[in-house]
Amino acid sequence: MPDDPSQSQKPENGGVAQLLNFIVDRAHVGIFVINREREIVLWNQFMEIHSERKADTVVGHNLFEAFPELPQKWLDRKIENLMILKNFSFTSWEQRPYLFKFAHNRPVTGGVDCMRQDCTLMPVKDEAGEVQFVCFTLFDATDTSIYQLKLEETTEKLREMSNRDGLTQLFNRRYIEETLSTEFDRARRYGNNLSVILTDIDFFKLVNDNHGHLAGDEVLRIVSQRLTDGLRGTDILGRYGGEEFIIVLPETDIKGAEILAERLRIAVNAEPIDAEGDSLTIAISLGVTEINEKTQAYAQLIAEADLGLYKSKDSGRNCTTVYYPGLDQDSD
Amino acid sequence: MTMKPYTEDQNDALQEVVNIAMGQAGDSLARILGNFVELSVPRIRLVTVDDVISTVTGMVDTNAEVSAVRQAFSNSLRGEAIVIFAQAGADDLADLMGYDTDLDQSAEQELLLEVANLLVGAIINGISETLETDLSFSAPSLMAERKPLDQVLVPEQLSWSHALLMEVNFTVEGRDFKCHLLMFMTEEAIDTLRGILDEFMDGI
Repeated sequence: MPDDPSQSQKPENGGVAQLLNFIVDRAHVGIFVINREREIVLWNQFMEIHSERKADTVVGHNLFEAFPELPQKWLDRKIENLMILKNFSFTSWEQRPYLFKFAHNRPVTGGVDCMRQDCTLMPVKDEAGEVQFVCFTLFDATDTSIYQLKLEETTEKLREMSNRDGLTQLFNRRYIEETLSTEFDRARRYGNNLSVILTDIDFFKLVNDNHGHLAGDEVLRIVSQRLTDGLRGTDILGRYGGEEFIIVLPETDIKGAEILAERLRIAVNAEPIDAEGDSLTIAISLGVTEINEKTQAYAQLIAEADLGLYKSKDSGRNCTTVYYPGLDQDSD
Repeated sequence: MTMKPYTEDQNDALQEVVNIAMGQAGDSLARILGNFVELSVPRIRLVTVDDVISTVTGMVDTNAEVSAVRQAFSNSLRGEAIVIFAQAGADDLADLMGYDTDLDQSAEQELLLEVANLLVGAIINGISETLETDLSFSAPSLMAERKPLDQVLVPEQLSWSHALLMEVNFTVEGRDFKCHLLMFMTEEAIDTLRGILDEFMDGI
């Protein structure tokens, strides 16, 4: 409950009243008061400085006429509610960055356009308990908002980093499995197609052994690039393991997946890769599968694509195998 | 501390005070929404940190996503109030309050904060007037947005063992809008409230 301001203005408290006037005027917080007609009756120094309007030029004027930039419809309703309910009310910079378009004191290091503001609206009641005035306190939340912004940027960067493989900048295994799990649930729910391609660089160990790990890394980077270039907008590519990649293809049936797999195989193999001065012709083997009504879980798609991939390796490499039930028996 | 913090008389008095305050909150909501608001009979429970989640999910009883706003109160009694909005109802709120229904995310959040503040403010004012004790409250803040209910409260973040929980829910006739108001007071406030209730009963 707000204290009755007349209490502190008794004659014997004259010294205290003077002190309170001083504090209200000079506190580093915006304080202003309006009456029931929305006319400004008090405007402290903080408000003077930041609005660049002296108290004697705004006191007696309608708040919304003096400051047409205020969100009148919304704020007026808030004031009306406060008069009816006699309840404190608040605004936060997080939802509404500012009420008044004030400059902030970080013009150089800020990065935000104007002062972020938290605001409290207090009902000031008369002896009959009716709200006669509304007292606004306005807090500069610019610093907090800048920290918050930095925190969000950093969090976003960290999340992005935690989803990426450092060498290839492709999505990492954890992220791609999460994505596949989500896509699997979605496909199940809506009866959509979903295909998975698993691919592995042929004879990659020989690249490392004969040309060194730096050349191996370069091959991984360039293969990643060629795979990325061959994808469509909704395909999701990730590095699954050492030289193994996985592609999740939402709303794609096995025919479409096989066509894409072949296109990628040809694209990777088309031109030699310049790795640390050596020109290497690189090939990939691929396994493809799609969701059907018998698919139990997303992991089954990976296992099936892996069987297809194994079959491709077994069949002489640089080729694509579409999974079918019984493929694993046939491979043995 | 015993599981029965109050005598029967104290409990009756508390229930009465809470009923009045919750009723005032419902009345405030009805005035702002311009609709008839129904409220449940307020429930008062002593909960432990181990059973608070199950108690709250039992009371709120929804599988749908919710948004939640928290607000602290202090002075003679310290605690926190949490208002949990069923998401469908939160979406209905803009229409009820006479705003355009295609609000952006910030405007939607602002509405939730506004309504939570209105309810919590009315209850705090109601309790402080009835018990003739000073209570004040801080600005509301969003604690969860479109989350499953069991993710709203995180047990690891609760640093108390017992709390007094008061719950009421508000519905608007013929609309999707529904919200639950939970008020928590921890050990110290439970003891303080005992004294306040005794003074209140002496004064009757």
